[in-house]
Amino acid sequence: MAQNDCVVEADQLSKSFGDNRVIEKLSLSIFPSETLLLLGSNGAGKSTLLRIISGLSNPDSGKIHVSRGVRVDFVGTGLQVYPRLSVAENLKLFSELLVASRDYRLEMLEWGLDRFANMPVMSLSKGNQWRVALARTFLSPPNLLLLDEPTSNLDDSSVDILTQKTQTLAKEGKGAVIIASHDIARLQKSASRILLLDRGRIRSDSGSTGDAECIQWHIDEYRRGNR
Amino acid sequence: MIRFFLILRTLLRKEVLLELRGKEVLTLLFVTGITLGALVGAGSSSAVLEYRSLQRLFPTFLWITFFFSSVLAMTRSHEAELEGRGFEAIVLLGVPGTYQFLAKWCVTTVILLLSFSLNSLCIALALGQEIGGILIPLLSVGALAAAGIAPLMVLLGGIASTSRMRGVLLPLLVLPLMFPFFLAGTELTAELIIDRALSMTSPWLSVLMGADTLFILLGLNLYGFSLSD
Repeated sequence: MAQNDCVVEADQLSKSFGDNRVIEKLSLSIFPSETLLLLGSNGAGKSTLLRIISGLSNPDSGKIHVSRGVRVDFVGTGLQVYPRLSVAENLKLFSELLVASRDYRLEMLEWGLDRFANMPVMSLSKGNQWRVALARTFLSPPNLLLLDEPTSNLDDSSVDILTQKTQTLAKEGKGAVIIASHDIARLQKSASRILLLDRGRIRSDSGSTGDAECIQWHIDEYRRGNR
Repeated sequence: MIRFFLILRTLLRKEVLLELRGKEVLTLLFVTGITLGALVGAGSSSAVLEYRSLQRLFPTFLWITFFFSSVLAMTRSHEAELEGRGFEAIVLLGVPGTYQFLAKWCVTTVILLLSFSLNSLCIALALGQEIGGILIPLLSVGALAAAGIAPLMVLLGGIASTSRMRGVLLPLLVLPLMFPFFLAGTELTAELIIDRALSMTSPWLSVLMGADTLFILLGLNLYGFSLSD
């Protein structure tokens, strides 16, 4: 597929931290409507890859091309919110900075955050902090959403909301989602593509067909590799 | 243009709220200012100096106090941003670094000016100086210095924020750059306290305004780069 059809195209990306090479000549294309589940053991380079794709981190070499008009959002370490501000203040802040945004009170209600509206984010549980971060990102769904370990602190009902929202995002053809996670059990059903990362390289890629058997084969492959 | 002002208003509100919640910079500035003022007072009273000598010492003590408290406060100026890395979400929304810089610069300037006012009061009390008649020109000099030190705080705070050495790195980076403000501020205050008026043709006023312009321009152009890894 031509570069123009991709939401994002990475070409020969490499990134090191000191002597530790985290990403090694990695090439990847992400297409609209994809929900890509990025799997890999600790230190495989998942978070670094997400940060490079988001533009928050620069690769040492290689190129990253984000299509024109694509808005990228990222939720990872730190959650990209202001812990000292209240839930409502955070969501109000970001809704005002967005060009077109949903009413932040609706988003707060949807994530069950209304009863914590006036509490500082730092005083909430980890799971609720993640809900705030996710509510922030869905104020105006981006064209490419990057989530780093979103489910590790979320309960099942929150994962359901997340799955439903990412599926809507992908189905409407508006955006692609990349989720770096170890939580295959809860995220498998929303994934249309599996990518296995191993020491900064792609070990296997189920491709963009969304074929269920192919996805299952890659998940089994990941599980075999982790044994 | 309207969008620019709306975004700036939102960012200004965020900066004020973040400072009011943590009060780290305000506390550091005020506590250091009051402590140094008390030390100056204790030191000068035991030295039994004449009024004229204390008058000559006033500018130096005032600006040393202001500088020390500013440099200390600088090490905390980006902590609220780093806690949740909220600035990354703002960057990803496409809000230019320039806007974030402007909001931070405005709020930091006001905080520094408040600190300078308190420092002036403390040192004047400690050295028994009458500053009522020169308060407005003195605060104007303070405002000019604050407007130039604030971009340094914001820019260098942003650059050093990703370093674990920032506590050490920031004072080392910033102290040499603050010399023009120290020299100009001290000279202009000395002129004020002795002549009871400020000469608008003073070369030190030009130094202060030149340094302000330089650092504000640097901040506007470079702050955006300090926001990515």
